[in-house]
Amino acid sequence: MSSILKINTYRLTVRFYLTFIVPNIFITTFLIVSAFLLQITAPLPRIFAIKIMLFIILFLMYFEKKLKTKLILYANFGISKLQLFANCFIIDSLLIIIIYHITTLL
Amino acid sequence: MILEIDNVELNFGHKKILNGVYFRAETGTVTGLLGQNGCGKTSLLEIIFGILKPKYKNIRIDTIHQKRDLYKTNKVAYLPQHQLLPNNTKIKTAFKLFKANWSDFILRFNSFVRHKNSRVHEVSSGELRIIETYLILCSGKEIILLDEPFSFIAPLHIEKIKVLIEEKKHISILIVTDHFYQDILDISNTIYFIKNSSSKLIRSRQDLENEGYVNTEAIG
Repeated sequence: MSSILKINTYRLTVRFYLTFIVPNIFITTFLIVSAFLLQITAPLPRIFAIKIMLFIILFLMYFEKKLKTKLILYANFGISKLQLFANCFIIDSLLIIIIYHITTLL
Repeated sequence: MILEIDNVELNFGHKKILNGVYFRAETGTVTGLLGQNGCGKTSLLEIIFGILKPKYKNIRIDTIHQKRDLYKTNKVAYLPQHQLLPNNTKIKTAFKLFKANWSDFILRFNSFVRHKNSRVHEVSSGELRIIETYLILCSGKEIILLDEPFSFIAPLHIEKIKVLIEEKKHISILIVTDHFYQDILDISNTIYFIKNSSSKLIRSRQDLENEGYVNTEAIG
């Protein structure tokens, strides 16, 4: 069975995402609040663009040997580095939308 | 199932690591991999697993060339020589992820009963090595790669791991490398020695002496 269809893939992705959820929430909140303060219309595309760049930087950081070895656990479940980061980006996108809507309600 | 790898060429910069390696392993046997530090044993396991890309490689399973990285096919499990599980993971969660049975584990390693709710950073490096080795061996994958499974482990537990390896070889291809060469000699049906970037089949303990891997007194 493909790793995409396995529940473990999503369990492990969430576990991996949780390791950097705190700085991620901080960055997302900062970007959204800044957009409101600067009165930027339709800020979501810009926030997503910045987040894509941050994920690319994080992805590139994991070419470093010590960080790379941390991905062997995920590879044991058939999850490639690209798949792991793509799944994390999907989770992060949902989080951006949730934080954005909460901020607009305030 | 028969796994074969050949035509491997791996360089790190100008340094040639592997060149002209041939390796064959099959279900029902344990294949040992020996060699000096830095000879390319770990690199070879990583190439088989699919996380290290050499310049050239040819991996075949039952004579069929494998284009995809093997780990993406979910056929292979790999125990690296460093820590596998993240520090904050609970031991019971790790067993759940690998679908391993905690009760079976406790039957073999009863002193671990207190660790079910512990987190990875709360167990010693030796205990963690045993847990990780057990999880990889019980992963049910068709190919199992073990890089230094006996490191940090007490002799009594090494014997238990060897028994487990002996059991699992009937359902998986097992490739094991370690510097505890005596244990590798005990469990392996086939042994390859890596020297000068290429592999050589070892037929007797004497071959290891001839290769300069062990001295005469150590062989005994």
